[in-house]
Amino acid sequence: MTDQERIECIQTARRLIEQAAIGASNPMIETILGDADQCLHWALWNLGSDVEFIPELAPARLAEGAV
Amino acid sequence: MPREKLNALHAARLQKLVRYAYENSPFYRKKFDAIGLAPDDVRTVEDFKAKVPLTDKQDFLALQEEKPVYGETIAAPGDRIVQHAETSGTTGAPLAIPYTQYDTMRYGESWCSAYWATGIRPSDSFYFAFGWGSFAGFWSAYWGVRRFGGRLISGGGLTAEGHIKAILRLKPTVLVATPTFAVRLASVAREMGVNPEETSIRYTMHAGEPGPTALPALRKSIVEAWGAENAGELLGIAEIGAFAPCNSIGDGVHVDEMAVFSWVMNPETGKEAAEGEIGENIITSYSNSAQPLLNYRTHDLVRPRLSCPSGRTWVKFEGAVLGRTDFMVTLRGTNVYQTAVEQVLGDIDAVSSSYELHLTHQNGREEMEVRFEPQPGVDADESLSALVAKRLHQALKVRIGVVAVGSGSLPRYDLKTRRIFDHRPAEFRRLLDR
Repeated sequence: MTDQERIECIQTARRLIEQAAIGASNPMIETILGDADQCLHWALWNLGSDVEFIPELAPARLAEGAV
Repeated sequence: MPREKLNALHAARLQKLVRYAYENSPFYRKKFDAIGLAPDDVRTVEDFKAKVPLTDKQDFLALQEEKPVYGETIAAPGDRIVQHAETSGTTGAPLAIPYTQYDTMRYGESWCSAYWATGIRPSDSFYFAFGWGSFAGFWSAYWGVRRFGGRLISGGGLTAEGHIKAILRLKPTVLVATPTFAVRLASVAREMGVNPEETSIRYTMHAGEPGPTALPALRKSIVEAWGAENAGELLGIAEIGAFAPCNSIGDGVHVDEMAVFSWVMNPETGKEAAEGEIGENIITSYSNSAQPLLNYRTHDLVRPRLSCPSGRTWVKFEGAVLGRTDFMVTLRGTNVYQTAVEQVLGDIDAVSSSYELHLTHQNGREEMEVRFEPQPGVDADESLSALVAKRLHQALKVRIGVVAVGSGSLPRYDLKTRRIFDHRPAEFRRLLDR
């Protein structure tokens, strides 16, 4: 797997996490998914990907319906 | 990662950081507005170095004192702050350091690079020979092991003898401690009839004081005392974390360019120092989003190199920190500044403004003795010495030897006053302190 392919896999994983977070009424699940997204963001950052400065999955962004 | 790609990443990431800081931190917004700097004005790394104002610990301390706990230094809502830590407070009030959850996840990342370069692997087990409190450095070591994957054993507040007993019982392979405490632990083990070379410790890892990279003699002492295969270290500052891990050949530390951006400034001109020239490390953190630090003065004097036989491409500080722009010595893991000692003495009416600091290296650790004069007409009795010792201990959080000398007996100087007398052997001093 090339780095670019790895980046695309992680980007896909982040999109799936966002999907899973929609409507998650359990705060624990929300937090776990948020942590997972932060880990993946950090992986992308270390792979040299052009990502946002801070991952904003939870919880404010979810509440705003941005995902 | 090749230098060209690292530089391109820094250019893009610094733009995002500047915008983030401007939009979320009242401190940076006011600072930028005051000089008419807009986030869009910073498009390149050179723009960043030249246009973004330098910041210093005093800026942050003043704002936190004005509006505790974090004041206008904070850039994240209060409900996003999940951990609080502090600097050691040796220059005055400790600097409060807030972390978001994401900040804590990245806080100890550089330790992983140091562990690996030293020869340590996730199959190793780590013994932390330090107490836990709000001092930030300990927490970064903790997060480093959590990320790296080894087994973590906290010695907590045990005595030196207790640490040795725990090492014998739990058989860790890595000792994490300040360098001087590692030497002391080995000495205590021998006093207990335990040969440290025959314990399970195979590697030692250090931070908090000039370590085995800056002082090869110290490396030899530690490695020989423990019969270790290697001794590693990280350079850091509490506000940012341990951001510069050692390399595999032990001749310097490398700036973790995924976590921070660093450039080296000639302190006299304010311009960037060339590769190989000694200057002050100016650092910017990508991983402190709760309290951003941009173009932050570390006061550490370093010699940058852009290539290294170890193969690591991150900027190297050859020999780690070579000295300080403000004189500082580290005693038992606590930074002691000449200015801090001077402030304490200045607050005692019965003490004159003349004093001397004498540094020695005894039994494997740094010691400092303060020689002070009473004011004319005041007796240099034991009660005055006890008062000075107590005030110094309260302010600096470390015990320092105190000697009262006769009033007017210390030499006066016409030009630059000599306050520091360094009697440590050359091999136990940093390059610029020799």
